[in-house]
Amino acid sequence: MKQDEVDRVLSGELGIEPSPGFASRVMYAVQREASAPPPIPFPWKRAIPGLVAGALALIALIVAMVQSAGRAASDASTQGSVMQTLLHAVDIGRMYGIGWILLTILVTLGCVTLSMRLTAGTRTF
Amino acid sequence: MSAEADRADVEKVLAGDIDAFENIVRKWQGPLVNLAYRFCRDRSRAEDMAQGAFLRAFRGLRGWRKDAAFSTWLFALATNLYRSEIQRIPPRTIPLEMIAEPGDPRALFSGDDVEIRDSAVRRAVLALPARYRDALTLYYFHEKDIAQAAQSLGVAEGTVKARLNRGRELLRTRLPRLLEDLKLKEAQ
Repeated sequence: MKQDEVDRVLSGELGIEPSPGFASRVMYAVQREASAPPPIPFPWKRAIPGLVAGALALIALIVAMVQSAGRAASDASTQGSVMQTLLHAVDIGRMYGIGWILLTILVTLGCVTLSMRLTAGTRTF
Repeated sequence: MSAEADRADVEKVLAGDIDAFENIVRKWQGPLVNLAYRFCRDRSRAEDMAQGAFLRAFRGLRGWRKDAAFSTWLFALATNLYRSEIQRIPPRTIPLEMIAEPGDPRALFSGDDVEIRDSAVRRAVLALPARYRDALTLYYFHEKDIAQAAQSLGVAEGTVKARLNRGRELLRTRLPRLLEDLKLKEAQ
């Protein structure tokens, strides 16, 4: 196809007129938007102490696990075998219910991701 | 003068006079609806998309930095919204890959079916890959102003030129077959 033909068609296109009530509809939506209460901000002040406490507890748990595993490995005179240490760490993790905690975190992440994807399809202006 | 009026209206809205936003809506409703129409080819959807663009502009009015014209900011915002809307729910088109290349493209342009041809060209633009479709749409919407098209798309002018060339090339090679199909349908 000749270039000037594409040019002619695309540049000579007549526009459409917005329907008569369009501006009023937009202003109605704008007024509604303006009168809507502002979104509730995330309560960081309340959440931060909890988040910090949770993070500290997790770090303490990991440190305790590693220390305990290291001690047990040296007590058993395994000459510091890395594999033995890891296996012992897993045992201790099992004792503290780490598997359940990880499973819970994964299920939570899955739920959040799924719900975000579902709501993304129903977005409105 | 026009840019100053926009600026004054924006200042009023930011100061709390929401009714001043109506001036902006009335002034830009035509271009925004038309731009949306070029993306979707559906009047009702175009108005919904344009309304969405105005609402987004209202929410983000403080984000206009005033170093560029209000219209530049508004078109870039609208283009962004339209592109994501079209990506979310694409308009009904014939996939470009399904349009085979004819033996001699020029042979099909001897007829008088201007209307069919024009419609086919517009449909073919919609069927282009998004980057070429957007470049062509914005370029012709801004009356062949590459700088404005680039600003609306948020890319460099060179990128727009390259995309325009590639888009036109795709149209030139694929369009004749689409026209042939349309003519056959018309004849039936």
